Amino acid sequence: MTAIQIDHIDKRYAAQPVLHDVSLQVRAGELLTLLGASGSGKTTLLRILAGLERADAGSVRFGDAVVQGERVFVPPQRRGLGMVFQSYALWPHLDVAGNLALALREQGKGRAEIAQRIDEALQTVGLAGMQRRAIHQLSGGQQQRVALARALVAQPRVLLMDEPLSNLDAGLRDELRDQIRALQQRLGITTVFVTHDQTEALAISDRIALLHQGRLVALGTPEAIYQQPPSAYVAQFLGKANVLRARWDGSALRLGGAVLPALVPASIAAGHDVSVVIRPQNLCWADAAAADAAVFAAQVRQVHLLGALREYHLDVPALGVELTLAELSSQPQRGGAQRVALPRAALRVLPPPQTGSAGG
Amino acid sequence: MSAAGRVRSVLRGTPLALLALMAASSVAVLLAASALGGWELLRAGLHSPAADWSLHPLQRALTQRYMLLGPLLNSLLLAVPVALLATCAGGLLAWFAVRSDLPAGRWLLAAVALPHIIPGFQLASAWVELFSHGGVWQAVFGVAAPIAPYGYGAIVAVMTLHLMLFPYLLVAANLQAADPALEEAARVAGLSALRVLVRVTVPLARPALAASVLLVFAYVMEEFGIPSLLGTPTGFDTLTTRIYGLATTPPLDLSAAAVLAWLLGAVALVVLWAQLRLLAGQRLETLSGKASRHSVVRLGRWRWAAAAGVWGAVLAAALAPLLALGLVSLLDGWGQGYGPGHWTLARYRGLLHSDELRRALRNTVLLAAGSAALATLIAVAVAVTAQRLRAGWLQRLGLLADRVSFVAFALPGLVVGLALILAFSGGWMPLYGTVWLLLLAYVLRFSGVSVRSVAARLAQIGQELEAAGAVAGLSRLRVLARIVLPLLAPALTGSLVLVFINAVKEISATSLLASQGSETLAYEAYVRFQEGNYTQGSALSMVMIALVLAMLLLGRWLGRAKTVGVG
Repeated sequence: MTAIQIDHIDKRYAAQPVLHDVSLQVRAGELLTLLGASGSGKTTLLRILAGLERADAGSVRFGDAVVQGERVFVPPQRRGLGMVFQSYALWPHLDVAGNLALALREQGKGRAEIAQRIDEALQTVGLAGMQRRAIHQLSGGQQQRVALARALVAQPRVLLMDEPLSNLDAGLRDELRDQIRALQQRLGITTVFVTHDQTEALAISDRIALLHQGRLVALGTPEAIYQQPPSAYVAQFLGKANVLRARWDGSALRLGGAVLPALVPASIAAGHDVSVVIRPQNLCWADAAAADAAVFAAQVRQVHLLGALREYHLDVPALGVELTLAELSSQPQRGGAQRVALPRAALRVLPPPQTGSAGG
Repeated sequence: MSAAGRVRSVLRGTPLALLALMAASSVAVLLAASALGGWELLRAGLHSPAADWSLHPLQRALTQRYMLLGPLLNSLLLAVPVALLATCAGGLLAWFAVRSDLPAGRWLLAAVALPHIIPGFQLASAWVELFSHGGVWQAVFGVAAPIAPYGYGAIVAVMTLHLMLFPYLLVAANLQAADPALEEAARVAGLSALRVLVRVTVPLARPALAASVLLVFAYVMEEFGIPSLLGTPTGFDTLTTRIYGLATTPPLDLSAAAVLAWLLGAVALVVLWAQLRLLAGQRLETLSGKASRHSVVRLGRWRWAAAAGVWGAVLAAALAPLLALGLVSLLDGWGQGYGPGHWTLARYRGLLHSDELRRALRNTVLLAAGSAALATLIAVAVAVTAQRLRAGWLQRLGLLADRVSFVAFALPGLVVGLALILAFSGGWMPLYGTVWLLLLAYVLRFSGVSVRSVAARLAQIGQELEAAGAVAGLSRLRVLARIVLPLLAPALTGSLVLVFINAVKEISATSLLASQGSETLAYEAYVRFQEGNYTQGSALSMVMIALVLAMLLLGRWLGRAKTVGVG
């Protein structure tokens, strides 16, 4: 098993910076997801790991071996990788077995061993017996599995996946996502997975690295990063969030004329603006609230049924903001004037956003 | 990797590295020969016996009417009407084939292609065999042919017939790509079928029609074989035949030939520029990109009349020349009678017994195969360096070679031939008179064809396919061999076949460059027709046409066997 150490990677295209001082470690055997919006630099970082792009500065180590450094650049063919491409990139002039055999033949393996390894790889992805199938005869899901089998067949040190599920329709996507995760855990192969879909990232990862405009803005387990986002941007990228702008005067957190009940980290100095993040499902109605919750009069403006959840858009005049509240749709629907509660535990206070990087 | 494994992989890489080296040196030779030829052509036109640099040849060409102005006017007098006639005829036939319910419409392409497959000068000779005094027409109908065998009208007719294929292909492609909804909307709006044709179909096809006119114009300007055999006997000189005369008939005047070649080359380049402008300005909004079901125009009660007219004309035009060449090739003598009593295979036996003809056959096959292989090799090298390397001097060189091959393809064969004579007769590399100079000429003239088709196909191959190869552990050369080349296969076959055929048919550069020892079949046939030896010329023509047709069928067969999508 191989850990990947990424140190101070910079990359620019012409004058356009794409990655800025990105450092992170992928632990041996874990599945790390590079998550980000389009243009965040996640695919570029993956291609740098693959050796398909060269970083302008910084280094990458696979285990003890430097594959990209100041004077070192190991080309992709000598990095010992498996990679699943977004388009799958299955070679259309070769059949399924031909696609899998190329890397093995390159390693000088014998005929019998190649056949056996292909057999095993196809079995692993549930395509046993499909050796002689032409690529264009396969469905999208089957092509995806062949791409996975091809990436694994040479027993690579590291598996890279570039949005491998984005070309599939929703149901198949969830099924294959779970299969990829199970397979990765069974093989224990160090895996870097790129996606723009936060649900996919939360479901599949050991850890998530969130990139925003070429910078690493969050790194941690899905649980930690979702529950304790380090910034309002991260909170909003990973799911719906109410973000309030409040002021910390040293003794109370004030918004409009009201005081919000919250734990303010000691690192925040008095007299600063802060962001307050509240997930919609952590808001509740006053009649069900705990004692330490702050209660405000609210007006229901819109109601959306989202399936299991029902979402309310509320005007809260005392705070001068609009809040979103979500509860199980099995609860009776409400309307008109209501009272909304902000439980102390639901409020997460974050340092003020740096100018320019706020919002989502 | 073990030591043995390393040795194995080096050995496996060797032929590839060798091939890459050959490709690189071929590209270098191509560039060097173009530069040298261009320079020598420029120098020759500014050279007089009295001084190394002089404007005298230029002044003479401009002031003496027979030198430049007369031939130029004659060339234009041919090019304009032929361009218009061929576009009208080819476009109309394309419409019949694609949009009407003409019986057997899809076979029209084969009928239009046949007169183009036959080299121009052989089509011209067939015209003479058909319509001259004592020709086939007279033998069949008993009266002299009402059609002139030589002169202006004959040239226009033969050229139109020979070049009709281009408008046909361009217009047919345009008609197939146009969104049928545009015409259906006009029908719904109340226009009759004829009005739809005039108001919608033809205006939509305008880019294709304009491109046809330009393309045919360019081909007429550079055509040598047809005016040489049909015009020279009546004193009708074009730019090409005048250059040929100045460069081959004593007293030689290479300076004047060079000045005329400048002009001819300049015309070709201007037309090329106009074509590129036209392509760049083409709107894509008329194209839907889908293979669409077109509503076919029903010819109704005109259907059979149209069929008789179209098929009668097309079959006569396509088959009569071939039949004439075939018949004359079997005769024991030209003009002595056509009956079975006069039939003999002696002309074909000559191919086996005469040293000269055997050599010509061998030269033709070797030159065609060699230039096809080299041009394709160059095309792969140029396309890969131009498209797949990060910006750098090597990539810029690739782009330069791409442009050079394109321009060289657009230049008339006589201009290329003259430049090569000037650059390689005597001096430090006396290749003149050898097959090597012909090989160089063919590669120069036709590698543009290869580069275009290979580059277009390479552009369609997604780069992730190659990245996947690198990730799987393949070196650059192995990615090229294992992934890129197999995916390029259709373009490679196409390039090999096209260059082979073009090289077999080539006469305009060959007429200047071939001599004893380096004859080709085309050259031998051309000389026979010039001497009036129609029987031997026809036999050689039949062999060439068979060679070309065989190559075409082989190419089709290979193309069908290996078709792979690259999406």
